[in-house]
Order: sequence, then structure tokens, then C-alpha cells
Amino acid sequence: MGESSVPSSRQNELDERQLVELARRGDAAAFEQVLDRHQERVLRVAYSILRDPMDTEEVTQDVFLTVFEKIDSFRGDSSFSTWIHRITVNAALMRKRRNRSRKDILLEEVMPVFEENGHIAADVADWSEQASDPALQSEARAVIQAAVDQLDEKYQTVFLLRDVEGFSSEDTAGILELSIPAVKSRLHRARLFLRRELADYFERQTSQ
Amino acid sequence: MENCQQILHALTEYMEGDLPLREERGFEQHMVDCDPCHAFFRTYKKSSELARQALRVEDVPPELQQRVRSYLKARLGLEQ
Repeated sequence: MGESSVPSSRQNELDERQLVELARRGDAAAFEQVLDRHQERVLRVAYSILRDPMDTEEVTQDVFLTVFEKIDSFRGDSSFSTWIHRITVNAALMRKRRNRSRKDILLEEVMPVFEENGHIAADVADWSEQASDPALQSEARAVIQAAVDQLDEKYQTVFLLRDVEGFSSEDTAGILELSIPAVKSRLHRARLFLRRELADYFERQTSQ
Repeated sequence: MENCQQILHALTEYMEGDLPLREERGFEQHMVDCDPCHAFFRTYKKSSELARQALRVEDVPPELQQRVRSYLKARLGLEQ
């Protein structure tokens, strides 16, 4: 690892392209800046997927080692941040794949029943106000966690990046190497599934 | 878009602002006219909101951040 060729005060002002270029040349301060800028979000994304501190720690370490080892292969087709998060998601999923395979989302299971003319066949309960009841928050949280755990990873990663971590659909598509329509389609199915699981939960609450 | 089925398939497109203006207006009018679709839409949005609150990792434990950083600095020779 070489010595920094740039004073630290200037390092703060470096844009991403300059930073990557310096890191490529083995500039120690540039590597540190990469860590400073990206470590927290990488940890958060890994933790969102893995939900386990030890796995998260190991995966994050592996992510940055990969980033530093493979920085020469970063071609700038996507942003550096997108590239790092793609490595993060892939590493977290590899770790998680030791688990079971999950089921797909069938639309007929998560949509209401429609009449032949496409009109909705029955009333839909609106539990959106009830969901704000603090007394139900911790149970609802468990329902959400269980629902997201059940999702097949192709839906789960889109949902976690887009709805939970707040990446844009464009960035989510870049990280997962999907088209934007594919991101939106998977997001819609994941939201429908989660809504159905929560609707079942709130219906049970009401009927008790 | 004329019926509930088409409307409910367009929820994410509406939320993303992807619908052409005319369809967006049709969507909004349908929500005014159709209670079940309105309830479905409200609970659909609420589900995302609840998931964000429940699952978002606001604070990664500082000791976890510190351990990762120390390990990487040592491994990459970044220590002073």
C-alpha cells in the first residue's frame, strides 16, 4: 500500500472518479476514504439482508477486501457506489443461500377476488389507522419480519433495497443488474405479499 | 384503466409516478369512487411504511463498525 500523494484536507473534496483512480494506484488515504464513505451503508445493507451481527461483520469485511482487490476491474459502467452495493448484496445472498429456498408469490393469493368484469368482488378492510396503534407495533413488527423472511430472495432483495433502505428504483436496478420494470414488478409483488400477511394479522386482531 | 383489477396492478406505477397523466387522473378518480380499492391502496402503502419502520437498520452497532474497520485497516496495511 503506497503513501498518500494527496494532502488529507484535499482528500475530502475528491469526487468519486478521482478517489477510485487514486485507490487503483494503491493510495492509502484514498482507500481510507472509500471506507469512510461506504462502510456504514454497506453494513446496513448487509445487516438488512442477514439480520445477524456476526454474519454481517464477516460479509462486510469480505466486501471491502473484494472491493480493494478487484478495484482494477471496476470499469465505471455504473457508479462506484452501485458497484460496491452489488458486491454487498451478492456476498450477503451467498451467505444466506445456505438457508432454504423460498416460495414464489402467486398473484391470486395476494390480490382480492375479482368478478368477471374485473371489479372487486368483496369489501376490503382498511386497517391502516389500526396499524398505528402502539399496542400492536411489536406484534406487527414480528409479522413483517416473518413475511419478509418468507419471500423468495428475488423479491426480498428488491424490497429491502427499495422500500426499507430507500434506494431509488434506478439504483436498485443497477445494484441487482435488473431492468427498472423488473424491479418495479418484483417490488409490487413483494408489497402485495406483505400487505396480505398484515391484512391477515389485523383481521385476526379484529375478530378476537 | 377501467376496472379494479387493472387499477390494483398499477399501484406501484402510480406511486413511482410512471402513469401517463390521463391514466393517473383515472386512477385517482377510481380511488374516490371505489371504497374497496381505496382501502386496498391505503393498506398497501401502509405495509411499506410499516416495513420501513420495522426493518430499517437505523444504527449499526458502533462496536461492529469499529471491529470491521480495525480488521480492514490491519489487513490492508492502512494503520499509521
